[in-house]
Amino acid sequence: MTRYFEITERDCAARIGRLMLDQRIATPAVISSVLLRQNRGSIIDSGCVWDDRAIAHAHTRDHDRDRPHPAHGKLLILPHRSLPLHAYTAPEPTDRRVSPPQLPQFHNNHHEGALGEVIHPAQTDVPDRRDLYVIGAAAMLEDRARLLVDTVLKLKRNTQPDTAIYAPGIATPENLSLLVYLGIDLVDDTAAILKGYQGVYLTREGEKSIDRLREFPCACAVCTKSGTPEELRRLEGHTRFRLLAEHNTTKLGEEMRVVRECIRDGRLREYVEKQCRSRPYLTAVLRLLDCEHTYLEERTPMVRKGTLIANTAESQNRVEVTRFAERVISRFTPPDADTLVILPCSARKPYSLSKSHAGFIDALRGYRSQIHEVVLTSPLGVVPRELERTYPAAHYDIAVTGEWSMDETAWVAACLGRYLRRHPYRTVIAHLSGGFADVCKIVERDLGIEIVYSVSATGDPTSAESLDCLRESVAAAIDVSSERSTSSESSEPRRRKRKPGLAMARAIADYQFGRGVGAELITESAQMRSGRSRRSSRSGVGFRIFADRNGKEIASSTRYGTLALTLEGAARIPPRIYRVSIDDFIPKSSVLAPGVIAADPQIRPMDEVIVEGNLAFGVGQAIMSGPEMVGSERGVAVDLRAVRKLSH
Amino acid sequence: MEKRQHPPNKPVAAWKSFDRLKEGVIPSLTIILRTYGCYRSRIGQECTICGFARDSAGVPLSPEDLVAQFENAMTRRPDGEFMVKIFTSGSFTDTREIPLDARSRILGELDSDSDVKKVLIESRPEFVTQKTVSDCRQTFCKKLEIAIGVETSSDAIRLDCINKGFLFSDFIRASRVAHRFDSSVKAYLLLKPPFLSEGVAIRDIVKSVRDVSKYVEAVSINLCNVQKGTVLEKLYRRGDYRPPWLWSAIDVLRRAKAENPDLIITSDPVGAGGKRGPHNCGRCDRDAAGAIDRFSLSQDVDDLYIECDCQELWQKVVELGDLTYGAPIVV
Repeated sequence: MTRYFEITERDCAARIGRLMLDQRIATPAVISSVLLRQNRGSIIDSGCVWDDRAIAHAHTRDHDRDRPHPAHGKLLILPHRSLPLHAYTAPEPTDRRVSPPQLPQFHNNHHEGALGEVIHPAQTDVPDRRDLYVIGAAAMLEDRARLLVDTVLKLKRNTQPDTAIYAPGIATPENLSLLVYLGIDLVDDTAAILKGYQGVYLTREGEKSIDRLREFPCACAVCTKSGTPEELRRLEGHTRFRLLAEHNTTKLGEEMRVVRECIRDGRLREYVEKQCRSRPYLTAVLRLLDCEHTYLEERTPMVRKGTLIANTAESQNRVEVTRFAERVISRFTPPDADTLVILPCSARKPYSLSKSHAGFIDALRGYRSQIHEVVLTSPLGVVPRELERTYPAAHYDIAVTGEWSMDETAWVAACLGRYLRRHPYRTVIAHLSGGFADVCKIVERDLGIEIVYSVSATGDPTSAESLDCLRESVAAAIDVSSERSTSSESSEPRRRKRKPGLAMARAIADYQFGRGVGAELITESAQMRSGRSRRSSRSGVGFRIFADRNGKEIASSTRYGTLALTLEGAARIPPRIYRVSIDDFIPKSSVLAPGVIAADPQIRPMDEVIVEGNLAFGVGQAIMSGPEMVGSERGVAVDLRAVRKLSH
Repeated sequence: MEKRQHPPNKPVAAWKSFDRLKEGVIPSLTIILRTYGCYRSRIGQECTICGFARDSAGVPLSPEDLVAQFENAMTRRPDGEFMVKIFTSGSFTDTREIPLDARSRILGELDSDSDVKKVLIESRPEFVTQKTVSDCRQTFCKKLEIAIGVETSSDAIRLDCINKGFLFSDFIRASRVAHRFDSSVKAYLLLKPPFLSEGVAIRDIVKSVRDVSKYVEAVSINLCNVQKGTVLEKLYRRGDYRPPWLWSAIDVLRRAKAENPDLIITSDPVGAGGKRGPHNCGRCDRDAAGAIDRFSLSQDVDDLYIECDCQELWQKVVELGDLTYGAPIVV
């Protein structure tokens, strides 16, 4: 719980927020160690219990009416024992005859304002209801990847979502983005200053002794004014160190701006995948964090503004990728077809708009209603044609070389294997070559099935020869299946043929809300009208769905290839799922977290949600995850698109 | 703790040195007797920083052995008049370490030795009682100084960080007893036990000198070093502890002397310059230790003046050390 910290934007565990003290601190932030030390900023440190000055200071302050009491807009860090990393339980004398120094005026009950508490990495009991948690001895977590990840995640799990986390003494320009990506909101310039006074020059790429630096890679005021490292080295100690510390602090501040902008753009993941390369331990941090799938999944938004760039081995472990693959298995229902055609992906998204797919579609003309098309791609795995416009299928980019890494091959093969195990087809035609075909061969072997390959010996799926072969293979497969089926059920495929758009919309609804929801939302009588809707700019022409020929609109497509519901549409979503229960009030444009009584735990930021209360019914977009809505006391939980007052 | 085998009739060590008294500098003989060992160690409550238990015999020694140790050490006496400083691995006046018989024989010999001008014995305050001090005074009538390792005037630090197990009030009581029997008192203070930042450690000792000055004639500031087999060593090996900067010692001596000009304030920078001992950047360690040694004899703060670029870094370490919330700044 906090009355002083509010999160406004999220990119996975990283967030932009504000600490509302006498001076606002826009987080993530680098706080000034000078201000903190002198207790001149908005954060006041009571000090260590062994620091006599801190205790004396506290006592005089209580009686000193001229000085501002900590309660007035200050955040007070409670007295703490400053213990190093491995010593959490060490100093516990068994024959203690005096209790630790008591600081009554700094006690919880006596301080009205925001409170912070130092939590040692080994501490298991974390007191509730603090506005800020300080990670004790955090500087010692540098170079200890597993301990760093475990410490931050343990603290996050044991505290409320809208509380700020401060990692003191650890931040450098190099590790900052990873720290923020882990979920840390505050750092300081202590390490940057100390490095400067050790003659170490910091940049985003790492550190270098000023003695070995030949050219300033930086154009900050210090570096510009100093001219060359040689000239800086000639300055006397006091000035030299001060300037180095100033440069280092500037670099740290600069990096923080970059990181904040990445969060706003929703591309911090791409940035950390790049930045973690500067040191093996930072790469280890990212990999270990990726192993904490639940932590990341809960916080990863359904959609992001930017293009998902999958350039690294770690990209394959991104939540967006694993979530898509998982939902294709758990939520998607393929159409009633015996024949599967597996196509290669294309650089142009959605795939259907690409030249290669135009060729495939042309070759499949006349058969498309009787077959099912999926696209094989790295790193997403299997993309059913119905979901090719849905985030991230039409929103990713990857370095294409034609050479597949073993990791990629294994992952995509696993996706295809799971898909085919779940959804068996009589005939599987792979219009693939190269690495794609290798994937199919693994699946053939693993599942003991036979796949028909329709690409000619040239290996080019778009050649006339290959396209002919594709058409022939499909024709043969369909002949076989129509021979086997009787004429009595011929009406089924015809209906599908007439309304392929609705099948896509149902698949999207299933993908968003769960298996079977599409059929309830979009019934047989529904009508789809194409047209550029307000929300669909990226994936080409959007669409709107109406209840029936003269009925009301129930949903429209978004630029993320998802559905935005109207109130009519929201009412058709089965009970409980993607529901946010609110208190007895009528919200206007948004629902704030304190108004939320309960929320479906599977809700993720940017999910389409249905808001329900005794007095109101609405629909909108989640800004927080379901658990965060319930656990938070501040911040916008749902951005409402439409709301209706309920009369009783 | 692993005990090494040693001849019971030889002292742990004995060496000649010089000591600063009010009236001037005097040669001294420091004797470290091997005894049964500090009782705190035997009950599993040794101090976090103390490695002297390794020097203890581990078994009670006979008065004959102890007197033989003493006599052996006395052969290394300096020429002319001198003072004798006797340390055990614990308390000289704990009869489990030095039985009454041995104690009175040692003190008797010192009393009758005309070159011995002054004797210093070390003890925990619980063994500085009416009975022990009056016993000592019956056999030894010359200048007697009782040294007590009070370490700090902060009970919290003494108990939490050092595990010393007594309170400042115990020290005050012991000091009163000593004074009642015409003995002077010396306080040993410890700069930077584990868990303290550089700045807190400095402030603690400056304040401690102020606090003990009312009860003692002399103060010696020990600069914490990492001794084998201690809790501190475990911390040190894991990167949880950095010994004090010699700059901190210089700063403490300068500030304490300014505040207490009439008090004798000394420091022996044991292990200075080593990784486990008090150290600066490596380049100036020898100079800094020399300055502290010189000051300890002269009591002249001008002797503390040295110069090195690393003073700037130390200054930052002092300023920012409290903001790491427990992480030592190891440089």
